[in-house]
Amino acid sequence: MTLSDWTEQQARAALSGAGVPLRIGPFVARVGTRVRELQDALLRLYRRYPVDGPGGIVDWHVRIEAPNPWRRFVGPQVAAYVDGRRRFAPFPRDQAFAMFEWLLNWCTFSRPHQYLILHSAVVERDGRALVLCGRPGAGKSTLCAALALSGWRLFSDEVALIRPGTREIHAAPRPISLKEGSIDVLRQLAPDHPMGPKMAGTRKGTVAHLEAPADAIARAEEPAEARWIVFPRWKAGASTTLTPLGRARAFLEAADNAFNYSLLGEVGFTSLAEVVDASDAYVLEYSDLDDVLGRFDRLASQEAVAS
Amino acid sequence: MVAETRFRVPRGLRLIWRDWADGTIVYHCQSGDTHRLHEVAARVVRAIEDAPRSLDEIATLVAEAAACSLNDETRAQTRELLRGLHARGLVEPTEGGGEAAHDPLGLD
Repeated sequence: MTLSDWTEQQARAALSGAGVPLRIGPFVARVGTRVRELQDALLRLYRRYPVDGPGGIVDWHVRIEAPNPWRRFVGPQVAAYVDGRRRFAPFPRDQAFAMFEWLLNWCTFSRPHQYLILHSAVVERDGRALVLCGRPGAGKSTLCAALALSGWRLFSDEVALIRPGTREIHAAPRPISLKEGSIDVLRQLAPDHPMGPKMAGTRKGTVAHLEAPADAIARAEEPAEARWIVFPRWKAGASTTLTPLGRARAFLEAADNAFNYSLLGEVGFTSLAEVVDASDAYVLEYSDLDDVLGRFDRLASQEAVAS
Repeated sequence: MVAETRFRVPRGLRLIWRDWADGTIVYHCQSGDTHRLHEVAARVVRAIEDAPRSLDEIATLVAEAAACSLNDETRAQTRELLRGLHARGLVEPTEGGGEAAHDPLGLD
């Protein structure tokens, strides 16, 4: 059963009450809010997500609520709660969906230490995972969104979840966060693909979220083996260059982008080493999205021919 | 008679190695630090991990790895290398392979 199988009335009642246990890849987040605009966005962008049954294990209880009724008419705000505890400073009410997504990011970055967690986007084709690794502003999400709309399956625009002792990467697909100019770029690329509200003035400027493709959500429980690790750098006017990177360098760069490498200790080291061993690593510099998509298609095709 | 200073990997330390074409990565299980070692440094630490070595033995290794002759310059480079490895907790000097030396590098 997915959220779209409920009537709107049922869904809003559940969100306003105990919350809806949404399955997002390997995680279950019980999501609740009485903020109507946030309910609208959830019903739009999370409609395809499975709703877990009663009595199941919930990883995170997340709520976004208006904390102060007195501010309803002047500078209305929303506050975020995880497992009953308030987190972060309040956001303007009209940024509630952005706050919700960043709250889920925080849960994913800081909690599930059964995985080695890299700050990266991941897409998959033919059972092979492409990891786009790098700091905010590197262009990962834009590239991830374009790939996800061009025949690659979305795993995540934020994290690579690596199962220790394997070369497997697990998917936790969510709406893809786009910023500023990327919003219009993706609008042109896929004008009919659902997108959430455009929110100006956030801490990351203007942001909007592209709905995760249906296929990504339906197949979220299918992991893939790591095959390529790419460190992208968008640079205005740059021609597309995909330069091989040595594995020792790639290892250190990836470790630097891991949320819990140090926490996991030896397990983190060996897990990342396994993934690096299995992968070809590259530095990507680009400015033309179409050109990059073509390069990655050729990379995947060469792999298909060779195997 | 002063026992010869020998260098060893600290007692109880476990190192995990990974070799790739562009370098060797080693994980220090006690500190949790990860180090990228160039070829010569990796050979030295691995040799010391096998068995404690004297400064002369290590300098010989360095000379072989760098394809140069064993001379004062090689010995000076070896001391510098060992200082760096010691600072990172990868090697320690001992008096004759027993207790850790009081002089941090035991090179005098």
